[in-house]
Amino acid sequence: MQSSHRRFHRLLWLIVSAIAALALIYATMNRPTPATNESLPQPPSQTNS
Amino acid sequence: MSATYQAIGWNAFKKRHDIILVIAVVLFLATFIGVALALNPQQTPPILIIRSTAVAAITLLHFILMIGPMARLDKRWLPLLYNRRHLGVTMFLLALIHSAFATLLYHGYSDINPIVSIFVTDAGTSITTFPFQAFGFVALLILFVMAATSHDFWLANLTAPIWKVLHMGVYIAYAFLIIHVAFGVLQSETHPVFAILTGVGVGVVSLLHLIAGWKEKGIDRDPKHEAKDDGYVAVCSVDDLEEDTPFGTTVGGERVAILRYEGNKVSAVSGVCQHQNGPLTEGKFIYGCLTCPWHGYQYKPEDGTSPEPFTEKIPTFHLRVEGNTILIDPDPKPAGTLVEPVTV
Repeated sequence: MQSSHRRFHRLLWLIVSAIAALALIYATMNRPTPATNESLPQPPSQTNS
Repeated sequence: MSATYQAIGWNAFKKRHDIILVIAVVLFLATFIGVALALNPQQTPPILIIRSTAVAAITLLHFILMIGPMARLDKRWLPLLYNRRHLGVTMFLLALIHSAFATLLYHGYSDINPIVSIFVTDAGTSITTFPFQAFGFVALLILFVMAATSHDFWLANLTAPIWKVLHMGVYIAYAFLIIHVAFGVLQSETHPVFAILTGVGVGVVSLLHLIAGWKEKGIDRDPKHEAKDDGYVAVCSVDDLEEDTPFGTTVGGERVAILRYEGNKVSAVSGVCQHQNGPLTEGKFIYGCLTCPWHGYQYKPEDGTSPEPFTEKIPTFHLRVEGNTILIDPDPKPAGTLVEPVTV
């Protein structure tokens, strides 16, 4: 009884810390890249017609 | 340990602890706001409140989660464990201020109910529409239930097993909060230092739990006890027993505290406190009771019951003495069963 409670406690913490670590890594690695001037749509160039 | 409702049983230690806590929180918030304003003077008061209380709350949560494993690794952390609930309630209040301001600022002007708005504003599957606010809201609810039931009054009314399961919710809340931070503020604050600090927090807390769990696993491993025909096993010699200080061992997966007291009496009870699974094997015999080092819960060694008016009780074990050897029946008797002490 005692040891099964402690095993559950350890298992729960292991799952929780793995989820937290994976979420942090995934969210940080997949951050949208800030838009740069080059990637923004450029206004149509004015031409003398 | 209190059997009836009393807001807080103040003593000198608790007062000192809480004064230091309040000063530390105020200093943290003031420093955060000062530095944030120095770096970007355009920040408005609501934004400063939202961010400072959020960082204070998540920092305090990491500290709270470190106390449990640290107390198992180093006894000098025990005083903090004794008062951990005050830290938890303070952390909840900081999180509540953060969420109240964030809800009013970002959802207060919406046509729909602000709470509903939290759940429908970001409800996509891409990283930019991930519902991080919903995770924060659910974590706040878990923390609210924990803060509201943190008093011994609720422990007594809910019973220890239900209360313990309820308070394990802090682990779920922690995972939700890391998701809330990772998919929320870390998407806009892209300086590496913020992600690194969050990663260090998760790493330290996880590592401490793993080390403490590994140590506990070692304690749970049964030493090779020599079993007799009647099932009794030899656990120690009489010389191993120091008066008023329990001898701890593990028999059949159960931790047992064997206590020599009042000169020549020896009794055996469960080594785990009913309150929060504290280590009774590391307790002391005080005023006729084995006393838990974590929160002072007490049990009479002959029947495992707490003295009146308290109602907690733990399993007991039959002992036998053969020469200089103490033998134990590995089958625990139901909590509160009277077992006459043996004499040595």
